[in-house]
Amino acid sequence: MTARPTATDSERATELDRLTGWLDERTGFARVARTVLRKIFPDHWSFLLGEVVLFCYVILVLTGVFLTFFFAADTRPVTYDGPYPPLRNAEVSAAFDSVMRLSYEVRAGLLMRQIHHWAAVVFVAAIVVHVCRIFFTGAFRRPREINWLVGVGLLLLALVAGLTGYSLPDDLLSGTGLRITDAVVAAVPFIGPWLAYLIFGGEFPSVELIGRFYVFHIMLLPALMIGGITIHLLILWFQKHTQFPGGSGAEEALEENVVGRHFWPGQVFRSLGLFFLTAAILAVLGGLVQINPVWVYGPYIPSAVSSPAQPDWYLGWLEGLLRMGPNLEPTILGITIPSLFGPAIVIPTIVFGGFALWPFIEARVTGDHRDHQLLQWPWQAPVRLGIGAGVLTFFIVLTLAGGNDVLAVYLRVGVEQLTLAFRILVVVLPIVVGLVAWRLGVERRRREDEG
Amino acid sequence: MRNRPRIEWLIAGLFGLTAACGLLLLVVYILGGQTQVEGLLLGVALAAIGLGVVLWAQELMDTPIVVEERHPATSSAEEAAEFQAALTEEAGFTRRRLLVGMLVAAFAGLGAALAIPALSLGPAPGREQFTTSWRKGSRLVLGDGMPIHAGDLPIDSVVTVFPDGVPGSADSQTLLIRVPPDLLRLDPARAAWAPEGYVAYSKICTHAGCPVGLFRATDRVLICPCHQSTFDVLRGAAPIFGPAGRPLPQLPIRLLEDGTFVADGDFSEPVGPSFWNLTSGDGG
Amino acid sequence: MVDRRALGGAAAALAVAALGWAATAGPLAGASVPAAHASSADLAATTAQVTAGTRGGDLYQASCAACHGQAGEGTPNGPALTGSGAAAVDFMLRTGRMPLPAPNQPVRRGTPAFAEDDIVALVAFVAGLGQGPAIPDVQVSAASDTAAGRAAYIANCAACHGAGASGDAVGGGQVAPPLLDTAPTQVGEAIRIGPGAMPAFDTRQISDAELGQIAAYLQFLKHEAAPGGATVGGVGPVAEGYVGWLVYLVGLIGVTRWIERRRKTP
Repeated sequence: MTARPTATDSERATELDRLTGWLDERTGFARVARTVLRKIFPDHWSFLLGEVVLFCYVILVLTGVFLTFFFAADTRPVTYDGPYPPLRNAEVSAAFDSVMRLSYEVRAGLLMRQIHHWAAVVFVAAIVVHVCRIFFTGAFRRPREINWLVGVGLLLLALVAGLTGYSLPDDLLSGTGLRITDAVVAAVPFIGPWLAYLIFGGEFPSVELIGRFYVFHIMLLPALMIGGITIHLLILWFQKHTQFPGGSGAEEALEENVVGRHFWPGQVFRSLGLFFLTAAILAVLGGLVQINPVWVYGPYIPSAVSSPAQPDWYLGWLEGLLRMGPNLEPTILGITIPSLFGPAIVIPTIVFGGFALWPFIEARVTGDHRDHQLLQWPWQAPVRLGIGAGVLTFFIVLTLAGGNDVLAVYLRVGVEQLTLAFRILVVVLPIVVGLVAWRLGVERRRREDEG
Repeated sequence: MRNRPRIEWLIAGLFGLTAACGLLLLVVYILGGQTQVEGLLLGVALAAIGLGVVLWAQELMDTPIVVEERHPATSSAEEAAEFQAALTEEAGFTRRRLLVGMLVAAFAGLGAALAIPALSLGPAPGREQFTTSWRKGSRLVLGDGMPIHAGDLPIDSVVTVFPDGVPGSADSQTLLIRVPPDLLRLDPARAAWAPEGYVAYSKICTHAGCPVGLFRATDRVLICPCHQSTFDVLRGAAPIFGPAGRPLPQLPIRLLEDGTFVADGDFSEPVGPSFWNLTSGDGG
Repeated sequence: MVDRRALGGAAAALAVAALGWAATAGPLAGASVPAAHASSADLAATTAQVTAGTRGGDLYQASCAACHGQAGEGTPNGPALTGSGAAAVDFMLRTGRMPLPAPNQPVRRGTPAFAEDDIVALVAFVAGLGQGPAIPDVQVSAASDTAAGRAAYIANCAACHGAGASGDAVGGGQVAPPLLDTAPTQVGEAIRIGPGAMPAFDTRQISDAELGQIAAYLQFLKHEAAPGGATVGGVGPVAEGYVGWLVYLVGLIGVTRWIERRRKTP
């Protein structure tokens, strides 16, 4: 059933024709655009998870640009003379002062700040869920190994971007976190202290610290991330999206075809809607739920500290490793191995290294070097399901352990007992969950094969 | 193209809601702004247009399932051969291995040279990690610069002190704790370092550097809030729980006749998180 | 002197214990005796007696003597109260930490077991058992210097109680409690006496004026420090992370599933 063509329809069509014609005469874009508009996208809801990540990033950039107009990346001491009474006449850094001004004196400033920070919190959560979808469906298999590597790189960049970002206000909580970061960097063998002095500009807390992090956060990291995202999307575009097996007849999804809807208008409108809805959720969060109230923490004072003291959730796994680490600090041949070396440097390197190299590891172990355009349901690869579930559990337990003092209060148990329990759980639970997931996968696959 | 008037009115209404909220936002802004109201209005505005756009796509557009063939990514044999030829024919790389090798070496050398500005980003650590501002004779002062007197501290209490002249100094921050003198179990070599039950330790945690700000008066232990490293004050701040691998360095102090304290030297060992040449003492 | 008192007290205590029980929880409960509303000085002067018969003494023998001793000398189940002073007793009673339901229970904040009159009587009685800090005079008003309060709070209190005064675990089974609902006088009392694992702070570390300033700052924190919206516990990034994940899992995944829902075509 089509709409009756009306006179206005044909007028509008002529206007559009004139516009596109004008552009095409100068650029020849229609030649390219015709394939773009007709590009086919398989439509499963989990394929939108990556778009949520992208949209969170767009919102981060938009709100971030606003914030850069007001932030002063300067540690020079100033006297606060704004409207927040408990800080009146306090000596604070210009950076902290600018964030106070943004929060209390610039209209919509606090909203922008909070949307920006909530967007960062949700951004990394969205990455984690997106990575899980890619992993458990085997989307990283040949020919998409490069995109997997790019994705892992983007995840690591996101973590650093978050750390540098929430440290910019130079407040008591983030300053404490930077002290820990300095110690972790300095624990790298031999070059550690030199590397820490290089990155931080001298002995902690250096005068240049905030300015330097500002350069990372607004220039270097966004440049790398935008480049990475572009490569990520271009590879996806040219390789075409993967698809789940299913469908029937002419519409059955096969290795040799791609089944879905055209990019324009169906996919574009849905994606546009997703962007607005993501933005809506972040706007409501940014307005209704307070995040990072730097006026409560106050300016960073090296001899002061507040507890509980945690970084943003996406570094909670590192915090958990640091809290549960054993107090072993051997000195071998005159070389001291700091007690945080194992937890903060060795374990993350091994885990993230394995994580990054996973497509190659799996291909080598399974002997499967074919192209794959069809996805697997998670239970169709039970070993991968088990390993992934185990590693995910590992990170979840670590993240929970990073908040052990907060949990201890809510659960009404001693924090030492909780720490010891977590030390056991972090080894036992991933194994148990992994084995259970593997068995469940095997069972399901057996039933599917029989049924 | 589907015609569903009710849905069309709904979508139009949603777009209208967005417009209305946008205008309301402007009004709220002009009136002075309020974060919660701004967030809600912005959220509703965005949600309405988002819902409208998606409903339009789902209900009013005919977007059928389409099928297309995938083509393998690999270039055809012809294309690959053309590429190979284009790459190597005129350059003759394969015939000039020495030059290619030296070219690579030249770039490597340039790379090292270009790292020079990067090295200016930070000074070399030097002796800074091994020393603080405490010297023999440095008076113990509070954060406001006033000296602390014996008797200012109740028993089983703690205060943060600094060397006179640099109150607030990050690497010299020190905890002065007063405990019942008969309970102290220090190393005999440090018996004189804690006059009348006043004992001083570095406030910088030896694990990851946070200020060890918590003091549990009942068992006289210091706890670091970052990772719960726990130090026994009576036994030279030895670590008794948590990830810290070495005790908090102790500051030798003397009680003067006027009731003030002075240090008898710098800390017993370098303060802060351990590093690789902690004991070998090289400047690095 | 203690022996005579102990002998006399023991005999009278048995009789009074029954009476005290009857008066507070038994058939005579509800029949109140007007307590003395007096200043700290008067209290000290008029309550030097350790014998039963005063309201404070009755209550003490009924609720406290079993653990703290009939003359406040202490027992294996509870410390001596002879050095407590009015501040400690007032603090323990008003925050519901004392009396403990049973010996050797953890000392936790709770609902006060006694009404106002009884607390005043008990404070007067126990303060008279020995020497200790008096109840500090903590004044909070709209003109209080919250900036000085904030500075003193961050320097002395935030490490255990948190910059947002939401409290935290301090190990050893102990908790530094949240302070946003603590009455100003109790804030001052705790600072001076150092209850439980908390150290005490002398006037030269936290002056008498700073007691009021800290209390005023805590009230400001409770009422006026959240322009950004709901504080979700005030414990910082841990709670923010939970909220972010909840919103993402419920909200955003819900949205993506709705966008790609399979509908029956007309």
